[in-house]
Amino acid sequence: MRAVSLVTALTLLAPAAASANARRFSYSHESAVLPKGTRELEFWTTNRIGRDTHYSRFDNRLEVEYGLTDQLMAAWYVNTRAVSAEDPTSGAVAKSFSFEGVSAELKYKLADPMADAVGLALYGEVTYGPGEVALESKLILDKRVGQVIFAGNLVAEAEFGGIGTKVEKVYEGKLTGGAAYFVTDRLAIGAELELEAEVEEGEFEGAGLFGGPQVSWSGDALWLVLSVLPQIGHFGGDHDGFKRDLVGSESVHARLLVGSDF
Amino acid sequence: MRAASAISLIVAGALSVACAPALPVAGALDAARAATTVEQLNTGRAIYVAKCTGCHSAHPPSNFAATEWPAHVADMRMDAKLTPEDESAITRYLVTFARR
Repeated sequence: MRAVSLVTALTLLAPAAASANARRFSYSHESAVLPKGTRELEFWTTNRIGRDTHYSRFDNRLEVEYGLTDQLMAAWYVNTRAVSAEDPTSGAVAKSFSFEGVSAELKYKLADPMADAVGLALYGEVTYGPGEVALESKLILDKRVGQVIFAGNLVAEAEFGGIGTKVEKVYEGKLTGGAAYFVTDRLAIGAELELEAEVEEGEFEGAGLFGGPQVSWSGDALWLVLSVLPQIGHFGGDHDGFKRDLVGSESVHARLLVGSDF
Repeated sequence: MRAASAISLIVAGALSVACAPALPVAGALDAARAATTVEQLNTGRAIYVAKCTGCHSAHPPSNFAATEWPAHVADMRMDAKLTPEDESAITRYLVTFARR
C-alpha cells in the first residue's frame, strides 16, 4: 500500500518535461546526448548475485557527463568493485573492495528517435585500471512509437590484462535491448534483455542470456532507472545445450542508475 | 508463397508507420498558415530536436494547444540554455503544429 502511494505521489509531482539526460533503460543506452554546455552527475551500481555458492558483486561507477556540442557528449567515470564470495573448498566468505580504474567516453548522436526514422548514436569508451586496459564501442538504436520507447545496443569490448607481463586478451560481444511504456511523462515500465558472449585467448567461453523487468522515473532534478534481469539461460562453456549456469555466471543481474544535472 | 508475401507486406507497412518521424516537417501550406517561411519553421524543428531531446523525448506538438506551448518553452529556457532566438524559433514551430 505504501509502495503504491509512493509511486502515485511520484507520478503526480509535476506534469511535463524533466531535466537532465533521463535514461529509460539501465543496460541499453538511448541515442540522446546532453545539449551543449549542460552537465550531469550519474551513479551506477550493478549487482551480480547468486552462484552455486554465495556470491555477490557490486560494480559501481560515478560518472560526470558534459555536452560538448548538441550532438557530441563526453563523460568520465571512476570505477570501484565490492565482492562477497564463498570459497568452495573452505566455505569461508571473503569480502573485498577495490578501485577498478577510470574511464572516458565519447557519444555522438546521428539521428533522433522522434524526428527521424530511427534514433542512432555511436559510443566509444576507454578504461584504464590496475593492470588492465579496456576498449568498448557501441552502436545505439532507439525509437519512440506513441507511448512506447524501444532501444537496442550492439556492444563490442576488448580487455587487455596483465599489463607489463604477458598480455591476456578477452573479447566480449553484447546485445542488449528493451521496450518501455510511458505510464505518465515521468514514469515508464517495461522489460530489458541482455545477451553477453565472451571469447578469452581465442576460445569461446560461453554466452548468457538475462531478461527481466525495469522501471524508470524522472523528476525535475533527478531521474532513476532500475532493472532486474534473472538469468534465462547460458550456452557454451563447460556444459552442453542452453540451460542456467551458476558456476561461471550469476542467477540475477540488477542495475540501478541515478542521475541529476548540476 | 502468397502468405509469405502478405506477411512481408504487413511487416513492411507496420515498419514504415512505426518509423515515420513523429515530429512534422513543415511544408508550404504550414508556412502560409503561420505567416512565416518553411525554412524558419524547420529551423525551429531542428533547434527543438537539438536542445530539448538531450533531457527528454520530444513531445509531439499536438500534445498541447497553441496557447499552452509558449509557457512550456519558457519554463525550459534555463535548463536547455536557450537563447531568445532559439526560444522564439522553437515556439513558432510548436505553435504551428499544436493541437487544434
